[in-house]
Amino acid sequence: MIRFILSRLVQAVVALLGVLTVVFFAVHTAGNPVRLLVPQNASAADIARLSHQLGLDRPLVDQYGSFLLNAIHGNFGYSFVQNQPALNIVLSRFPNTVELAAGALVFALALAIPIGILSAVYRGKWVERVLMPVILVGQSMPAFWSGILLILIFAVHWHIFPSSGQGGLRALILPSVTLGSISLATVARMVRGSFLEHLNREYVRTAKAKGASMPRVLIRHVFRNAFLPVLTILGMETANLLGGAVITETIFAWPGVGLLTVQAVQSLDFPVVEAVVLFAATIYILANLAVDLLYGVVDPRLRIQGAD
Amino acid sequence: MRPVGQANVVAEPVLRIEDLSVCVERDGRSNLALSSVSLSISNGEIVGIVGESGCGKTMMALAIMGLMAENCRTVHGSIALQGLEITSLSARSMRSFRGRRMSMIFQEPMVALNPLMRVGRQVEEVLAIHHIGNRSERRRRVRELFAQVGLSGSGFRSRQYPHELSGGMRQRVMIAVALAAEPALLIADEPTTALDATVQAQILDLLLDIRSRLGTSILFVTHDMGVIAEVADRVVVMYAGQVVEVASVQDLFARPGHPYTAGLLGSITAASSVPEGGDLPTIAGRVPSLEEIPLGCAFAPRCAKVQAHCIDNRPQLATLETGHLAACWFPLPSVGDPRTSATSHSEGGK
Repeated sequence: MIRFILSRLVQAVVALLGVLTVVFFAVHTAGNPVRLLVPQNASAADIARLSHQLGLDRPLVDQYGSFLLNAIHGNFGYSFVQNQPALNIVLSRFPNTVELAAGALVFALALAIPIGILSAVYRGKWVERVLMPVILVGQSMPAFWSGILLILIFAVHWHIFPSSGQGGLRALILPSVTLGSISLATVARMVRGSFLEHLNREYVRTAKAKGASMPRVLIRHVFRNAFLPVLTILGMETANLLGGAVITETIFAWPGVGLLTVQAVQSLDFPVVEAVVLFAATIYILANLAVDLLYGVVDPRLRIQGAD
Repeated sequence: MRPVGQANVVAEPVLRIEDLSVCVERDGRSNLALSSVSLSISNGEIVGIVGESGCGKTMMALAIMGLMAENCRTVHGSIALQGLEITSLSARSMRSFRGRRMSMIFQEPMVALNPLMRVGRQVEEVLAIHHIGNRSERRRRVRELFAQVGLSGSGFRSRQYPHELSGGMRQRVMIAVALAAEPALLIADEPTTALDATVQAQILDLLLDIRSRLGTSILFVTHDMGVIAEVADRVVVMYAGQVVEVASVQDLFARPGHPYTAGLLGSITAASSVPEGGDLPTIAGRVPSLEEIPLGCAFAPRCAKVQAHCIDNRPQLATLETGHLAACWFPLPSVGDPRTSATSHSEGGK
């Protein structure tokens, strides 16, 4: 078990080094941030001085070396814009993103699991014919449109929920629905497919031969078996949500990691962009590791030797 | 009402199927998968259903259990379990019978158990579903059952998962599941086909042992004449959804009346005596699909003894000797038995 986790951590370090390299060269070829930082009438000497101050006049390879060395120590330098350690800025935004991600996941799962199960059990019946289009609509509506639509209806027209910002449960609902409806469709389809497959399995026939009722067959037998593939999707969805929902956070002015990303990229705030990307990648890797460990909890066949 | 098994005063058979027809709907067309099938099983009797794949053996088993696929429908006939008609039962009453009065074990023990549930709980679940005993009584009963099917000791624990057990052990778990609520009828659908020969023999012994100790009636579905010879008291031979011969196992092996039965027997009994390099005897051709079952005798296209009369007229089951029926216009004459000489018929057919 410990060996498994260790080997996964080694893989994670390699992946993160790769991510750091790609993001470094990507941002440094994106443009010169100094021009955005100085006043419009700044002289060439001013620009050169600021470039020197930020270390941007050094050879790229040289910058890359010190960037990597510092990044390993968790130091991404100071934000060009806010004059604070970049990683601190990212971390301070993270709780907001967690809040939104949790809201979106709760919304998505609360609907996706029943919808998926019902449309599998009542395959070809009217229940499925009503539910599937709902899922399709959820999946095909982009967040920048559905978000604005929701604001228009529930904030502008009916004044039920605030249109933007963070604060309390009421403010959380619209962004959660917007962000969650994409995951909702993905998860519901996965649940439906997996349940359909498992409903035809032999062990289901055995359960019916015991005299088990359909709810019992579904809850006691199919649910756990069919949930394994759903778990994989769920891990990826969670990682995506925690990495920051760029569009949704922008629409609702939600002060999370996603909004920070947009702001940092727009102002070419290299240290913050680098910290955000590394942070998102780390979350992604950790979420997938968590899913792999959860597999073992759900399915005894996948338990790693010596864990039990 | 508690089923009391042997306490029935009248010698009512445990299972009586009469004139049962089942049709399968596929692509908007419906075809008969079982056509006018009749059979009965008495208390403590083991009846074997034999035939090639696609003859309707499993369909019959599933029809009895009420577990047919959605596109299958009983169109005609009756199934009576301990004298009670079950084809017209509500889904709810049917559930209360399944696992309680009749139970079923399947061909593939590898996949028939829930992979994520401890085997002890899978057995206990039957008792829980049918509200038998409280928790500790059920636990005790599960231990008893595991001992009964030969699963005590040798490293077996009821807390194990199916993947930790061998195929034979899993089939024993399945048998424990099937026996848990002491059903009157056990349907075994090819229960040994997926197992090694030695394990197969052990499982057959176990089923025989269960019958003699508990008096359970067993409907044993198989394609293997050798298995039939070992376990069955009576045999029902099926072909293309029809019963073509019924006889006691001794009569059937000694004097098969239907050419199809003779063919099935020929392909096993001769297997040991085939000279090296010689071909194994087989029945030429294959079982017709549901769409192409002939109007007359279904076996006619493959029958070596076919006559013109067989092509257009479907034979009904007729008595050859006491308790021995065959659906054939020209049943095989039994060796040294002048009673069933069919020569006069075949003259007439020409």
